Amino acid sequence: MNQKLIEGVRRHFTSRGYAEVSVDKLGNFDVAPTIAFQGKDGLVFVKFIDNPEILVNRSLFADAFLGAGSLRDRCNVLYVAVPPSRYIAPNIDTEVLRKYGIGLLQVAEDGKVVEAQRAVPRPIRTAPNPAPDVDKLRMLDAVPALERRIAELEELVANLRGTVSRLQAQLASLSGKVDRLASTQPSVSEVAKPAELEAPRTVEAPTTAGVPSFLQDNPWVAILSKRGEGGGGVAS
Amino acid sequence: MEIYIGKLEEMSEEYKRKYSFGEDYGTSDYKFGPISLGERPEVVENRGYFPDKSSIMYELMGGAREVVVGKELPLYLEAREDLAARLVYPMRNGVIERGDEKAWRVVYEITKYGLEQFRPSVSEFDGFYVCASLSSVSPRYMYEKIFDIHRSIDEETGLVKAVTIIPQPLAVAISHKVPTCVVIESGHGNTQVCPISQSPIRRATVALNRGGSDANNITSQILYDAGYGDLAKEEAVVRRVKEAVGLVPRNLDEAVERAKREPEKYRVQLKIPGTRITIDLERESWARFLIGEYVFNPNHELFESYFKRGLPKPKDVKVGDILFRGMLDFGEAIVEAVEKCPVELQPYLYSRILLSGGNFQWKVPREFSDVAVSSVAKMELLMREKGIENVKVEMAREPKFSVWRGCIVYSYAVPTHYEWSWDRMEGWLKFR
Repeated sequence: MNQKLIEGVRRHFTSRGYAEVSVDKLGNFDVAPTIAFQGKDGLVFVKFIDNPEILVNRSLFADAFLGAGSLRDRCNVLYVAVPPSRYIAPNIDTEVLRKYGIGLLQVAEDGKVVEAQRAVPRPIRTAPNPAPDVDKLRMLDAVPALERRIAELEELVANLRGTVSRLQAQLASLSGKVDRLASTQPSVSEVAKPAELEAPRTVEAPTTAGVPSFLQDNPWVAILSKRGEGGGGVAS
Repeated sequence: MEIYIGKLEEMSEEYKRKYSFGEDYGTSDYKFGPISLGERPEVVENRGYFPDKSSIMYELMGGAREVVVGKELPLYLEAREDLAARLVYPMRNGVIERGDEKAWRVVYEITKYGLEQFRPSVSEFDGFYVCASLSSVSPRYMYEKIFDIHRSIDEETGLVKAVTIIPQPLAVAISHKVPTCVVIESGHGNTQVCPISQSPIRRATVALNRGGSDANNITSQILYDAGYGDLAKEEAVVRRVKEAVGLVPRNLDEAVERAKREPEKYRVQLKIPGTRITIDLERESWARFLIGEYVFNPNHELFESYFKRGLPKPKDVKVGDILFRGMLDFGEAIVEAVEKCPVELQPYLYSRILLSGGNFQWKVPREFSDVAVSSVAKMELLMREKGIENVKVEMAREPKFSVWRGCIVYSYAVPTHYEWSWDRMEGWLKFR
């Protein structure tokens, strides 16, 4: 944890009349706040998310954020503190922050703090956790490994999605070629009339196999494909 | 030569099967994306934020951006009094003024943002075939601006091979697979009645200076009368009340008479989630029927007292060459539009009327089904009042996406050799 950032937040709250409270004296936590204060709005928790690895990984960030959210009922005011980073913006939904009254602090390297989203004070709802559950702690130990595995699977799914999309495009293209080949095979009667084969070719309606449902059996495809054959649209 | 063109079309068909791109500049949302997305486009709010460059937040978020668009926009919003001036919804009224530089800047940024999201990484890609959609009452300079914007984006990014623009009602008709119909598109600021027969019949289009915002206005007045003057000023609350309590009456006189006779039955209470506010219209609950009626027909004598007390009366206004009518009822607007079309075509137009847009989304609670009706039923009633019997009115399915779908069909089907014509207002404007 970057001590300069913590010091910045400490200054921010103490300069506003809050007194720091030792987190250790506040009971057991699944996810503990980084720093806590007591002041005019009651008990304030600040949870830092500043690990560079977490900041650039969407799933790790979401997980860290949910962890911080679990503190919501244990304090009156909850802030999540992050360093300024271009990777954070797409990962944060301010509507969600507003809905749960969670505040967002941006803490610069020099300790300067900006309240990007003000927290809304709420009453404390639950009693502190009872004594730690051994099974639960064991499960929690396994979380980092599971997170890594989930990240690997997410990457795998993303690759598969790209492959499926490419295959769909190739299939659609092949299907179009097959349809066109089928429609251009000359029948016996056509072979017998070579003059017709030399007739000027007009643009055919595009095929619609393997395309979205709103394109299939849509009479507009034939209508629009004739645009430019003289006359264009009807109206003006 | 013909065979050569045919070959080219085959190649371009294959290309467009992958790289057709639709853009729907809606009043609230911008819907965009390529054909490969399938049934639904990407959606972002059609707005841009001009951050205060002197603020710390601007520096923290990387700085150097004059206008912010897209999904990360909320992160830049600051609780400032000038927020409304800095947050620009360019299409809020369907038409952007020629000199509204901020609005055009947002359109530029959001268009570029949309195209960049789908830049393919394959070497065969030579730019999208982009079909953009605008309100049918957009003046010519809006078309010119949209073309210029795409040209600039292409020069910067190489993402646009060709672009075309179609009116939103045409896109709705295309996505619903109906070649002959009347489309009524009613949005936030205005309503367009557009007859279509294989193309939009532009000279028959009727524009109304009335939309969802007018229904908000009367809801606000009703709240004021019921003792909620403070809430009547908050647009978000007013809109929520309109959507939750507004009803479209089968017959306004009858509905009001019954609601006044049995006030408890029609009484409505609305709690605003996340607040302590509960709105109770009590004895004013009969006014729920005014909201829906006002959308379809603001000419009833009951509205006169509201106009006298300050409800803004929808006025006739001229934008470019188009006259937007204020007080025309929807039934009359359809008749006026259809009667500008050839007589032979008129029965076919009346037989398919498509309603599209958020201003037609009204609830019909089962217990009020004898006095309240859906938008479809109301429109059929209005047409019957005008003596038109063989009418089939339909509500557009998934109206949010239908314009984008129409754009994709248009982009895919229109041959690439068909060049843009200002006379016909269709074809491709090609950049290479």
